[in-house]
Amino acid sequence: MVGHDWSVTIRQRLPALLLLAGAVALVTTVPVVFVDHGVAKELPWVSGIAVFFAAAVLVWRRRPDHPAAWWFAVAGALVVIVQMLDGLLLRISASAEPAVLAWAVLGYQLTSTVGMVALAHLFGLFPDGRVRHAYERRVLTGLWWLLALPPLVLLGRPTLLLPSYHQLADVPNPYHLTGLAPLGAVAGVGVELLPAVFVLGAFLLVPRYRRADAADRQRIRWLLPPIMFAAVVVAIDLIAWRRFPDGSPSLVAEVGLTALWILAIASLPIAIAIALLRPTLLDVDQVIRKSLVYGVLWSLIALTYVAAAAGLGMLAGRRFPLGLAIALTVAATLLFQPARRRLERAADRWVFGRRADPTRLITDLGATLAETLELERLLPRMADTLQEGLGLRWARVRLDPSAPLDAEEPALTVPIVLDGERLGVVECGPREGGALSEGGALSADDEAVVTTFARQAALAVRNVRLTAELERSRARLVRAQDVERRRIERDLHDGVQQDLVGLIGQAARVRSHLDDESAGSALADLQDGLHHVLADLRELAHGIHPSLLSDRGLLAAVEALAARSAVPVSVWADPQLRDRRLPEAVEGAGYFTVAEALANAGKHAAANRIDVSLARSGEGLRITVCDDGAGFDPATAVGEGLANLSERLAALGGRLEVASHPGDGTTVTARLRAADG
Amino acid sequence: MGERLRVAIAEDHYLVREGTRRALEDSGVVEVIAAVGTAIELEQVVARQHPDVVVTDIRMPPGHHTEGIDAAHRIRAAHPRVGVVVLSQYAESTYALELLGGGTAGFAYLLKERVGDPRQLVHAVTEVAAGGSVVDPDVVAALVSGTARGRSTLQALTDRERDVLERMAQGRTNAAIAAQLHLSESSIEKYATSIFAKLGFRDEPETHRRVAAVLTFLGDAGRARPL
Repeated sequence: MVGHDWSVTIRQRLPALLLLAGAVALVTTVPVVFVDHGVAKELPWVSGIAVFFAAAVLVWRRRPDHPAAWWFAVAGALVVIVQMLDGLLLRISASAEPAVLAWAVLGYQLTSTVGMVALAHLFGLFPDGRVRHAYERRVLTGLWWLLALPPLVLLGRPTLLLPSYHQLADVPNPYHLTGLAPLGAVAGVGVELLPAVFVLGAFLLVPRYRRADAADRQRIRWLLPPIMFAAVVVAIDLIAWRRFPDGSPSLVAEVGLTALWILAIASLPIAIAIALLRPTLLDVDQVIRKSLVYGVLWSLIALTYVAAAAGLGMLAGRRFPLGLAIALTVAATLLFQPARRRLERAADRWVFGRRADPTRLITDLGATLAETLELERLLPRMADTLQEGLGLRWARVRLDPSAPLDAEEPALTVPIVLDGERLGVVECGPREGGALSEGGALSADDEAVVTTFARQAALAVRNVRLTAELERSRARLVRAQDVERRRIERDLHDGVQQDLVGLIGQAARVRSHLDDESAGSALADLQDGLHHVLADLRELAHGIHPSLLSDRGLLAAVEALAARSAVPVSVWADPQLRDRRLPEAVEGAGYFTVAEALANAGKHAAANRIDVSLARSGEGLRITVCDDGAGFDPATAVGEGLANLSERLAALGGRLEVASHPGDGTTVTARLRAADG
Repeated sequence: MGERLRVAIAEDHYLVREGTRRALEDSGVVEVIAAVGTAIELEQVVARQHPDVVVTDIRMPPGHHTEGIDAAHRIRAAHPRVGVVVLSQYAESTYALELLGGGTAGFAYLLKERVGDPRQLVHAVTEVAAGGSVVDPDVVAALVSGTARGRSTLQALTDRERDVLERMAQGRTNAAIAAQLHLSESSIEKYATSIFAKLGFRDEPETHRRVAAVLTFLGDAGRARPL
C-alpha cells in the first residue's frame, strides 16, 4: 500500500502482537513456575496475572479503538512476559554464564520498565487514555527516560541486579566499569523502585478525578474497591503472619489467605475492565445492586471496626487485668465509632452520592418540590439541586430572564417552556474546577439532564403558580363571604330592624290614642309580637356577623360570646390582643371557630365549663376552646360546622385541630396567620 | 307641671326618629328641640342649643360604627350637665359598658324597642337629666342565664346574694325582688347592703350603688383574663 504510515500500523498491531507473545509466555511459564516454587506460593500471583491478561485481552477485543484499552493491552501483555522472563531468569541463574545472565537481566529489566511505564499510562490517563493536561504528557513521556536505568545498572554495578525476592547469590557483572560505580548504585536503587511508577500513575489520577465529569468519575471510582480490598488483605496478611512467628501458619489460614490474595490481585484488572466496558453496571437504575455494593462496603467497614476494637481489647487482655482490659475495649469501641461513621458516610456518598445521574437529580428535585410551595424559595433550591447534582460552579433558575445580571456568562442556557409559553430559563455555570475554555464545558449528557430538569421545572413552576392561585382564590372567597355577611347584617340592622322599631313605636302611639279596650289589647299583642320578631331578627343579624366583631375586634366579640353562653366560660387572652386589630378575615374565622366550638360544647357535649384562650404564637394566632364535656371520636364524627371551619381556616393559611376522646372532653385548636393571607 | 326637659334626638332612620320624637313629646314632660340624622349634627345642636338631655342612636352615618357612643363621651366632656340616653339595636353588654364604664352618672343605655314603651323611655330621660343612670333590663337579662356562677368578681357573693344582684341588675325595685323571691322587703335590703359591702360600694349614694353593682355584673361577664 502506497503512503502507508508504518508508525500507525505498528501502533495498531503492537497490542495484538504483545498479547500473542503474552499468551505464549503464560502457557509456557505457568507449569515451570509451579514446579519451581510450589503451587501454593505462586497461585495468587499466577492467577492474578492470568486474570490481568484475560481482562486486557477482553477489553482489547471489545474496544480496540479505545486509547486506554491500548495501554491496558500493552501493560497486560508485558506483565505476563515479565513474569515469564522472571521465571526464565531464575531457572538459568544457577547455571548460565555471567555474560548470558547479564543480558537476560537487562532484557528482563527493560521489559519490566516498559510494563511499568505502560501501567503508569493506564492509570495516569484513566479512564479515557487521553491526555487532558499538559503536565500529564510531560510526566508520562518523561517516564520513558527510566529505560536508561537498566543499561546504567549493567555498566555501573559490580554484581548483577537479580530480583531481590528470589534471594539468589551474587553473580559478578562482566560488563562492569569501575568509573560508573556510583551511577550504577543509584540506577540500581531506581530499578528496584520501578513498581513505584505505578503509584505515580495512581497519583496523576487524583487531580484528574477532581476535574472529571460525572461519568468519568464513576469510571475512576471503579478502581477504588479493589484498592481498598487489597489494603485490607495486606493488613490481614501482616496480622496473620505475625500470629505465626515461625512462618508456618495452619493449613486453613494459608488456604484462606491465598484465596484472599487471589481475589485482591484479580479484582483490580476486573474493575478496570468493567470501568472501560460497562461503567454503568451499578448505575442508579440498578439500585438493588448499588445497595449490594454499599452492603459489602458497609460489612468491610464494620468488620474492620470490630477487628480494630477487638484487636485492641485482646492486646489489652494480655497485658492488663481483666477489668481494665474490658474498660479499654469499651473505650476503644467508642473511640473507633466516629471513624467508622465517617467511613460509612464516605461509602454512602461514594455509592449513592453526588453524581450527575439524571434519575438522582430528578429524585432530588422531587424532594425539593415536595417541600416547597413558594417560588422565592423553590427556584434557588432547584438551582442548588442542579448545581450539586452536576457539580457546577453555579446554577440559576430564573423566571425573568430579561432582568440584567452582573454574572458570569452561563455555559449552558435551557429555556423553561410549558405549552409554548416561555416561563424562564435554567442557566448553568461551568463545571467545578475548570474554566469554560478548558474542561469546564458541559457534555451532551449534561445538556440532556438539564433539558429534562427544565421540563420538570416548568411543571413545578406551573404547579406552584396554580397552588398559589388556588390559595388566593380560596382566601378571596372567604373574604368575599365575610364582606357579604357584613353587608347582610348591615342591611338587616339599618333596614328591617329599624323599620320594626318604627312600627313598634307607631303601634304604641296608636294604642295610647285609642279608648277601645279590646282594640288596645289586640294592639298590645301586636306590639309583643313585633318585639319577638325584633329580638329574633337581632339574634339572626348577630349570628350572621356580630357588629361587635367589626366595631371592637375579636377579643371583645369572643368575650360577648362567653358572656352570653349558657355554659360558664372562662376567657384567657394575650392582653395585647385587646388593642390590636387583625385582618377582618382572620377575626371572622377566629370568631366563628369559638362560636361553633362553644355551641357544640353546649349542645352536644353537655359540658360544665369551657376554657377559651386566645394567644399569639409567633406571627400568628392560636385559639383553643377546651371543654369538659362528653367528648367524641374525631375519627368518626367531626361535625359539618367544624369541617366548614377547617376549610375556612385552611383558605387563610391556617388550620383546625380537633382533639377529643369519648369521656375526655374536647379541645378545638385553630391556628391562624395574623397577616392577611 | 314644671319646666319641660329640652331634648335633642339623633337617629338616622326617619320612622324611628319620628317615633322617638312622638313618644317623648306625648309624655308632656319633654320638649324635643331638635331631631337630626348624624352624630356630628347632634354635637352642633348641643353646642348651639344646650339641651338637658340627648337621645341618640349608636350606629349612624357616615361610618356606621359606634358614632353615638363616641359623640356621647365628647358631649359629656364638653357639657358635663347634659344627660345622655343611648338607644341601641345591640343587646351586647359591651356597648353598655363602653358608655357607662367611665362613670355612670347621667348615662342610660336602652334598647331601641323602648320607643314603643314611652314610660320607660321618658323614665330614662328624666333619670339621666337628674344625674342618675339606667341600663336596659333586657341587656342584663341576656347575661342572666345561670352563668353568673363561677365568675371571678362575684365569687364572694352567696347564691342568694347573686340572685338578688341579678334582679337588681334587671332594674327591679327591692319590693319587686322581694315578691319574686318570696322574701320580705327588709331582708332584700339586708342582702343589698351585704352585696354593696362585698363589692366595695359601701359609701356611695343608693342609686349609684345599684348601677355600680349592675356594671360589676355586666363587666365581669365573659371578660378575658390575661394569659
